[in-house]
Amino acid sequence: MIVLDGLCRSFGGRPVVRNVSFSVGPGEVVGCLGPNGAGKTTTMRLLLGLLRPSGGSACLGGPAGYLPEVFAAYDGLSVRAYLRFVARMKRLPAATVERALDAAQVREIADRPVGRLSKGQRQRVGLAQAVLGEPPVLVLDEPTIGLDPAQVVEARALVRASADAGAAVLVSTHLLAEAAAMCDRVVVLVGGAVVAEERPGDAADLEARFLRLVATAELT
Amino acid sequence: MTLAVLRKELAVLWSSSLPYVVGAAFQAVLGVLAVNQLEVRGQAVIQPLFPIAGFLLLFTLPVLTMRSFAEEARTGTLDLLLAIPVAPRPLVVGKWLAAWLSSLVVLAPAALVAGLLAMWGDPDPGPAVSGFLGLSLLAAALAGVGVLASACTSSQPVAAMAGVFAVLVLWFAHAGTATVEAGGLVAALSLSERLRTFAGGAIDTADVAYFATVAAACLGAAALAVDLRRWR
Amino acid sequence: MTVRLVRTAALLALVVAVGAVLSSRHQLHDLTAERSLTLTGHTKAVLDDLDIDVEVTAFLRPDEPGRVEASALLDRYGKESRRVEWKVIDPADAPGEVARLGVDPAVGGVALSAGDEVELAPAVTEQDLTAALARLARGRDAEICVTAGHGEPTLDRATALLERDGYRIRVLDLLARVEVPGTCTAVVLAGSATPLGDAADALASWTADDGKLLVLADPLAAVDLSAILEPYGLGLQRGVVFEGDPAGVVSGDVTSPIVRTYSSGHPIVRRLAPTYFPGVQGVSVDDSVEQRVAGLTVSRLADTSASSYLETAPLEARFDPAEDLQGPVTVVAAADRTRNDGTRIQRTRVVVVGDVDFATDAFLTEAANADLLLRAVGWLVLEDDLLTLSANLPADRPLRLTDARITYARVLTAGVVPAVFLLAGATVWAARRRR
Repeated sequence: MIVLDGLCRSFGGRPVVRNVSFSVGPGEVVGCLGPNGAGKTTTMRLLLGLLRPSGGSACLGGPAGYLPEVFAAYDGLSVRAYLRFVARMKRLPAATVERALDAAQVREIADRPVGRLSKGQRQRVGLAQAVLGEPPVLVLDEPTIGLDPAQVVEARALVRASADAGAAVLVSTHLLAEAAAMCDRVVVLVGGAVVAEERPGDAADLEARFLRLVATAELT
Repeated sequence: MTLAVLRKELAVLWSSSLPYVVGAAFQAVLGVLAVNQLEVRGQAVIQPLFPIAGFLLLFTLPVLTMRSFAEEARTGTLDLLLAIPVAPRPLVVGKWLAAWLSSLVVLAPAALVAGLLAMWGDPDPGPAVSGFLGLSLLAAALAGVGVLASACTSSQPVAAMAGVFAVLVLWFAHAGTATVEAGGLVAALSLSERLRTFAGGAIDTADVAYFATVAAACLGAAALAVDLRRWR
Repeated sequence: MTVRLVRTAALLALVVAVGAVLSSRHQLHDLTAERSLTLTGHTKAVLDDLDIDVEVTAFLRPDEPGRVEASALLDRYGKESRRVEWKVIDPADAPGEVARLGVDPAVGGVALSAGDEVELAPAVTEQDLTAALARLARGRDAEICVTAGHGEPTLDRATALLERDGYRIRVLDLLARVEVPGTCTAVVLAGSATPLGDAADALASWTADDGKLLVLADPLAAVDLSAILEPYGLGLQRGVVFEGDPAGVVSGDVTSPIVRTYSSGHPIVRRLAPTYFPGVQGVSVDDSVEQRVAGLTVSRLADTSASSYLETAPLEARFDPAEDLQGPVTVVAAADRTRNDGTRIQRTRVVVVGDVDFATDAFLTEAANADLLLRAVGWLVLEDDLLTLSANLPADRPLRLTDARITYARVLTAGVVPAVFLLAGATVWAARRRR
């Protein structure tokens, strides 16, 4: 369960997140959609407590798995060692590491140092650490960035499987096709404010509605 | 959890080239200066080694600690940990322990000098024990300062320079003053003054408390600095 | 989160406060073999008895060698006694202080001041500092009068030792003038070789009147000291002690016994190391005198071994039970008589040693002879708990260096060890690349 209620945040007097309110229930995948600079990443960081809101509140219904927009790990550790470290930080048993390796399809690179991985491989390791222990909340910022088409499909399947297992999943993306394919609902953020919250429908329809929403928001 | 952080830090640090280069440089400079001292004095005394090693540690620890928080802040791995959420304390203590233990590995070969003295003379073992204990405690305090400096910035060079500057000020606080006074605050804060008794062959519990306090205070401040990241 | 921040900040403040307190409480554990970083028992005793506030000002230039060591030594004094405050000043920066304290600006030195009283010490060494402190604390110099005029041997080293310990030494020529000056705190009757005549009476009456007397009796001199010593139950047993235990003599000389047996309770010999007497006679103690003379206590302080005996005919060198005295033989004894005449308390103290040679230049530095002399004088002038004066100085520890060894040390410490580090780093790098 994720609940945002009137969340606000300014940087240097400039509002970046304005009165954002929405919720994500268990088993739901909600997409946070918006142009660059809309406040998607800031909203997620506020939700996770990495930034202090200037107003409103955010609530997570349990420990959250988080994948940041730019995922980094420790180059000197192997994938398995890195995941074991994260499991220890999350107070999870070692067995969860093996499940996460399989879920994110990174078992074949488990003994390779993180510093020797490609961008796509790193992103999959990022997904693995986010789903470690099957957390009840997932907050994923651009989860498919850097992945090839086949890996994108697998990532979307992983997100869907997590939701089907009962997790409340919040995904941020600027790819309309991804939102249409993966999300049960989309929350459209423009200029830090929620301008729409609705079912995605198909990708073409979503694109038309999205452009209309952005244009309207910019006029106001 | 602290142990997991310690293991991770040691694995990451010692899989990079940094500690090996630092160790080589430290031992090379120490070796040259220490043997010069032995040659000049002609006595089987290890005491002159310790102020030299202590001074070199002023540069060694900030370099070993510069990446502890700064690098994690820059790459975003710190945010991942804070989002879990991991409390600052195990992070700070684990990183400090890793830096301190690593500095002891860098320092350890200096004991060879004691071995050479034992082979070629009749040294008093007491000062060797107290001196190396003093250096270990100094390293603990310096590691604390370095971790604090690293926790306050996301730039490794800035962390290193800030750490070096801070410890140099503390080291030279007492030097060159025309008047030296009993109970002076400057003397009480001076790292070099606090090392002096250890280097001479004795252990003063007040000096032990001083180094422990510096380390603990810096770690407390570092935990505060990490927590305040969320206050932004 | 605010609560956690406040809690962390409060804990930090507590750590700093506790640390500041603990960092000012000193307990020193000296690990050096000679305990060279520890003040001697004598210095600690002086500092323990200090009942005045003393400011120690050492005048040393910033570039002067030994300034750091001087500060360290002064710091030990300051930590041992709260009554001692110290500072090290560049004399060029404080000409007024230099003049006020009477320090020679060309030479420098140390000034110890308590109120208007100032004592100067030539250098920042433990001996000089403690001696100056002792003088300052006594409030006046104790004057030790050493007799001359009756064939006494040269005691230059002994008098220098006493001067270093803070006493003023005065030569008392009883042949020239048969009178003990009122300024004498104690008199050392040092091995008179010829009869004292009227000087004996002068000494006897001076001693009886609150006097402090140290008698060093030459066994080869037939000088009658009974008039001086008998009132205190003490006397001399003519002869020379022969030591029968080969391990109890020096260089195989049976007339030079090493004394290890002491009265455990008396301040003069408490924890005293063995002493050595190159020719010593016995000192008799009349135990019954304590019952006859009120306020008098006599003590045997040092005895030779049970294997020794007092040979009354030294040329015979054969034990004669009829004439000689089987050991142990008392060779050092002391008497203390305290009287209260209603107006003041009078205290007479006498120490008798059956030998004078132990205190001469040739033998003073042997064994604990110097300690015995200092303690005897110290006890006479009422400094009961003196321990050894000599500072704990680091031993000489030569390093057997050759050019080859220096090269070896340089190559090992500045070459091999760094190379090992670099090799280890290269190995780790290569292993990572293979993975």
